[in-house]
Amino acid sequence: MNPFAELPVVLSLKFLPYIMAGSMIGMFVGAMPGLTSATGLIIMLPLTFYMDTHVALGMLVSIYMSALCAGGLTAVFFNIPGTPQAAVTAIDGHPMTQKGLDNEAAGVVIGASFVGGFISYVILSTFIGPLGEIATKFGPIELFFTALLGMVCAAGVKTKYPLKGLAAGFVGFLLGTIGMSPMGSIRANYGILELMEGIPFIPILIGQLAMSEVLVLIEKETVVPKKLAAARNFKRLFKGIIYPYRKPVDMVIGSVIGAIVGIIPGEGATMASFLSYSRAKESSKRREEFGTGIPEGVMASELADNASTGGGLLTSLLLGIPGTGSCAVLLAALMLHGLQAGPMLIIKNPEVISRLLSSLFVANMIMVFFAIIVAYYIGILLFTPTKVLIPIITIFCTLGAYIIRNSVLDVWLMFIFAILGWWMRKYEYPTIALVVGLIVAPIADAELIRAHQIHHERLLIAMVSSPIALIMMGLNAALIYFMFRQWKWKVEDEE
Amino acid sequence: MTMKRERYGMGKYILTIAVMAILIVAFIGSASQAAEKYPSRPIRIYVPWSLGGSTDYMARAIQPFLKEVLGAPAVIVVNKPGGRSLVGVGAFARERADGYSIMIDDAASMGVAYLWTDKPPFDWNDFTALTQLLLDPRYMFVKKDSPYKDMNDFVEDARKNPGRLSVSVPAGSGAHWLMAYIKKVMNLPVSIVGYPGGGPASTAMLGGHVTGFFSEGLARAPLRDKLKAIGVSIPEKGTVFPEAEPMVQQRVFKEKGVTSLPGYEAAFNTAVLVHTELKKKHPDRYKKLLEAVFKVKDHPDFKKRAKDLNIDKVAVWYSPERSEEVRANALKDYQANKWIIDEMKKK
Repeated sequence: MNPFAELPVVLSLKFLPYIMAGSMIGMFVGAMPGLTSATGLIIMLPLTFYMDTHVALGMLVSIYMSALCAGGLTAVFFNIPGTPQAAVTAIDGHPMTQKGLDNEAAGVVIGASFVGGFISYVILSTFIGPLGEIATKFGPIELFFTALLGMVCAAGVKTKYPLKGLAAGFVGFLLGTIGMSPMGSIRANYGILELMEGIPFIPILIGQLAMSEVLVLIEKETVVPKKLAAARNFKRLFKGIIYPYRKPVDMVIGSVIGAIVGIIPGEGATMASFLSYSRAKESSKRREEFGTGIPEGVMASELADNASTGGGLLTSLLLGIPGTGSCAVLLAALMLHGLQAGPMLIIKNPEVISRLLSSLFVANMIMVFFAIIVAYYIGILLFTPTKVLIPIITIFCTLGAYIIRNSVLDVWLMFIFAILGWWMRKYEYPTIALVVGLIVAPIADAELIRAHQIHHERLLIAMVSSPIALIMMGLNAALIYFMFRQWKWKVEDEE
Repeated sequence: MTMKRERYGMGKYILTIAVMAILIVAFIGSASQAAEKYPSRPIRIYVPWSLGGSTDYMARAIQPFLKEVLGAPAVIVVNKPGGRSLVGVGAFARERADGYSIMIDDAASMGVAYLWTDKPPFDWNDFTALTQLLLDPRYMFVKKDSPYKDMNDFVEDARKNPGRLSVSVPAGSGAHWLMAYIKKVMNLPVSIVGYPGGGPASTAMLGGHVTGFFSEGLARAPLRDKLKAIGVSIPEKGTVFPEAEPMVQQRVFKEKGVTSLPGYEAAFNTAVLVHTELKKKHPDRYKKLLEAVFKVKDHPDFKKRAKDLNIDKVAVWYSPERSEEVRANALKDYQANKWIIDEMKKK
C-alpha cells in the first residue's frame, strides 16, 4: 500500500480544514484534565454523520493524535496529566518546569509526540497490508479467544482491582448478548422492540466515556484551580522540539516500544509510556537523575504515548476489537458510515485505509503547529469555566446518542449509563472495560456458535489444535494471573 | 455573584452566549428546512446484511447516484446484519414511513425471514418494491487452489468424509435455504455455517475456515482470482461466473434424480423496498423516489460504473408491478416448501 498516494487529496481544501479543526479540538480536550481524547472524538461524532467518510475519519484521527500530545503539555506545566496516558510525562516534566525549564520540557513533549506519531505512521502503513492477510487466518475459534482477550485486557490494564475490572468487563459482555442471537432467537429484550437488535454500543460508549466525565466535572467550577500565566520563549521551545534527534537510539527504541505495546487492546498508551520510561531509565547512565526533571524521561514517555496510536488502530481496523476508548469511537464512526472493521476492509476498501494513513501523516504535522500555540496560551485555555464546557459537551453527547437511530431510547440509555459510569469512576471500576465487553460480546457470541456449527462435538479438540487459539488462551491466562499477582503485591505493600 | 463576574470577565459570558446562539440558529435552521422540501435530511439505505455481500455491494453502487439525483444532503448505507436478517428488516419496519429510509433486500431471504416463525416482526405487505434491481443465481464457490473441479468432486469427497466438510452461507438467506434443500435431497453430510452476510461468509471460505461458500455471484466478481465457482443453481449458465456448470446437469445430481432446484428461479431477487404506507401518506415522496431510482439506472456515470462492477450482467430493473409479482411468486414458492425451513432449523 502506497502511503503517499492519497496525500494530494488530504492536502486539498475539502479535507485539510477538517484535519486542522480536529487538531484544535484534540488540543483542547487533551489539555483539559478530566476530558480524554475519546470525549473529543465523541463530541465530533454526530457532526461526522454529515461529512464524507474519509474526511470524517481524517478529522477523528487528528483529534486522537493531538489530544495525546496536549495531555503531555498539561502534565509538564501543572503536574496534572491532561489525559490519563500523560501521567508518566509528569514524572520528569513537572520537575523540569520547577527548575525553570518549562519551555524546553514543552518542546520535548511536542517534538517527541511528533516523532512517535511519525514512527507509528510508518509502522501502520508498513504492516497493515501483510497483517491483513494474517488476519484472515483468524477463524471462528481464534476470533472467539481474541475477543475474550480484548475484554480481559481492558479489564486488567488500568485498574488497581482486577476483580472490579473483570466484573465491569463481564457486565458489558452480558449486556452485549441482549437482543437477537446470530441464529435469530430473541434474548432478554423484555418485550422492548428497539432492544431486539441488541443494546446499541454507541450511546453506551458516549454515556460511559464522555457524559460520565461531565458528571465528574459538575463538582468543579473550573478545571484547574488557579489561573496561571505562562510567558513562553520560542527559541527555548524549539530547542526542546529538536531534542529527540540528538538521541536517535532512544528515539527509535521508545517509539518501537510504543508501537508494539499499542497493539495490545486496553489503554495501550498508558502502559506503553510507562514501559518506555522504565526502559529509558534502566539503560541510562543518568539513572539516578530520572524523576528529578530531565528531558530523557519526558521524551521516553511522550514518544511511546503517540507511537501507540498506530498499534491501537491496527488491532481495531484489522480485527474490529478496539484497544482504547478513542479506537472504539473510531469503530463507531466507521459503522456510522456503513463500513465495518475487519480484514476485508483492507481488501475491499483500501482507499479508506490509505486516506486514513495520509490523514495521520498530515495530522501529525499540523499537531506541532497547534501544540506550539497551546503551549503559549495553555493558562487561559484551562481556565474555561465548567459552566461553559458542560452544556456544550452535554448537547453533543445527547445529539450523538440520538442521531444514530433517531431513537429517544438511545438518549435515555446514554444518560443511564452516564450515571452508572459516574458511579463506576467513584468506586474505581474501569468504564472502558464495560464498553469493550459490550463491543466484543456479539463477536465472541457469534464466533462460538459458528465454531460449533463447523466442529460440532469435536469443538474442544479443534480449540486445542489451533496454534493461534492456544496463544490467545495462554495470553488470557497469563494476563489474569499477572493482574491478580500485581494486586496481591499492592495489598501487601499497603499492609 | 459580582465577585465571580469580575473573576471571569465579560469575555467569557459573551463567548457562552455566542456559542449558544450559534447552536440555536443551527437547530432552527435545520428544522425550518425540513418543513420546506424533501429530501432535506440524510436518507438511509437499510441493508439487513453485513458489509461485502451482494445486497451491500448493490446499495453502495447506487448510493452516490441516488444522492445526486435526489439532491439529498447525504445518502447513507446502514448495515444492520444479524439474526438471520431479522435485525435489519425489523429495524426498517419500525422506521417512520416518511421516505427517509429505504431498504435493499432479496425477496427469497425475506420469504425465509417471514416464514421462519409464526410471529414475524414485520408483515409481508408492510413493504412494496420500487424496482427489482438484480436477478443473480447462486453459485457454489471454493478456493481457487482447491482440488474440487465441479460439484461431483465436492459431493463425493463430502460423502467420503462425513461431517468434515463445511459450507458457509449468509444465515437465513435464500442461499441458506437452497443449501439446506441441497443437503437434504442429496443426502450430503456437510455442516452449514451461518454468517451475517455474504462478505464474512466468503472471507471465512478464503481464510480456509470452511470448505465451500454458497451464495450469489455479483459481489464475488472482484474476488475472481481468489475463488472459483463449481456449480450454479439455475438450469443454464450464470452471467457473472459463466464457467460454472449448472448443478442439475452434473452427474451427482442426475444420479439422485434432482432435475430442478426450488425457490423462485433459484436466484437472488434483490429489490429496492419502501414502506407501503409511504404511497398513501406521502405520494409525492414515493413518486420522487421511484423516479430517482430509474434516473440512477439511466445515469451515464452509473452505466459506466455498473459495467466496471459487473452489475450490468445481472441487473434487471423491473417495473414496480413486475417486481411485486416476483415478490408474490417468491413467497408462494417458499410457502409451498415450508419443510425446508424446518430443515434449516436443524443443526
